[in-house]
Amino acid sequence: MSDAKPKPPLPDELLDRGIGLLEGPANRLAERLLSSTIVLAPLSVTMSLAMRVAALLRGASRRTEQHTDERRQK
Amino acid sequence: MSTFGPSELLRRAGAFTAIPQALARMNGAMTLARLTLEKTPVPVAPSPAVVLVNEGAARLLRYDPMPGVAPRDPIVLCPSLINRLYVLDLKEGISVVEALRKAGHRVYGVDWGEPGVAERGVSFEGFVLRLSRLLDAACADAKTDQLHLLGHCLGGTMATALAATNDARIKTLINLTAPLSFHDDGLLSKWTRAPFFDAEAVAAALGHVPPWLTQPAFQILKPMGQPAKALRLFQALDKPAGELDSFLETFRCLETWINDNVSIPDRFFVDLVGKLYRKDALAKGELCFEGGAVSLDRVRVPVFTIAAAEDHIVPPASATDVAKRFTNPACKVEVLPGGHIGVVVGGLGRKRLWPALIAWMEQHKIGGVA
Repeated sequence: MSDAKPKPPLPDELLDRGIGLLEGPANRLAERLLSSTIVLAPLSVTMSLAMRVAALLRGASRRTEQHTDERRQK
Repeated sequence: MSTFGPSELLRRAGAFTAIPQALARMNGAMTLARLTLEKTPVPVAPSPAVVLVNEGAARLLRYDPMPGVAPRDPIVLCPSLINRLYVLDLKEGISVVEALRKAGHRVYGVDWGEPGVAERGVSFEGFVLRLSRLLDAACADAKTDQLHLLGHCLGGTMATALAATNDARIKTLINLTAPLSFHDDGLLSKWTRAPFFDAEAVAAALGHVPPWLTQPAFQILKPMGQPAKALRLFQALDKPAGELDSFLETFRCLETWINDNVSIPDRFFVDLVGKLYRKDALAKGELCFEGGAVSLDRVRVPVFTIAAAEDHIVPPASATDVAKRFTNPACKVEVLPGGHIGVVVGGLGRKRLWPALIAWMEQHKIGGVA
């Protein structure tokens, strides 16, 4: 009699392996990609520029609101 | 000798289990979908508490003591500023607060709340000072000069900065997965240190940094985490009825907490990225408050540093490396199994975490010999 544990059904084994693949090699690969300067530098430049534009627009709209309020008060 | 016949072939192909398993999973998925669509309330934060003090959006909560249990030392729980306090009181049976109350500790919790007008322009130092005032209130309520302070995640960073500048009321400090050195191999560290990333511009454009920006960023920290989580959920849905209900309740409680983020206060975000992440100022001793430099060498109280072995938000080295500089000989470092949240709410982590916290405070009783 063999003491070896019987292998699980194939669909269960495939699911386990799929999860292992996602959490292991696939995750490491994606992490490497997301931490490389080639990817990060353009992303952060775009984000910083977009935020600066948004800040300018926000400031402009605030100033317009202030002017409108002042005019109403007059 | 192994038998290899038609029945073994069918078993291996999943012919005997596929249909019952598929039906069970379908039932599990339907139950989860129904609970979600019906918006059935989740029993998060079950421990009864009263609000002692309010300051801006922050509140200091005092949890009711457990009746019939001999009282022990008071402890203040300080969570991360960007998450809700109830991760430490997730649900009945999965609650640090409950475990501490059962052991007789008088438990206080800092609920930082959703930042509003009062938090505009409040820096990292400002929030550390706010924590200090909340500690005063807890000491006054507990009628004690000292208490234990547990900081979770960034709450631990703030608690450590407080201990380095003014530790008069801190008997011991417990840092639970708290980042102290920010130059690590984690994605969060690399992103915040990316060339040209401008935290000032983000705060100028958005004010308090909203969860719609931070939540996806935290999710991508483990890039394949979401598909893997979906598969793990699918795998777990074939549990028997009784087990399934309990599993789904825990799952929904945790998802509720994960998706219940608060905005990061504007100036705090600028300091967090600019001083802590980019300059690693706390670890290098270059962080300055109005009263002078925040030097980790000045943390004289016993510190219990707890890190999580699979933490992708605060890698173990980020929590433990600098802890070696604390001068008190009673300091202790422990790396527990699990991830950033798993160590608090996961089975293996909490089996070791809760007793470790209680044993630590028993060893360093207020009024006892440290």
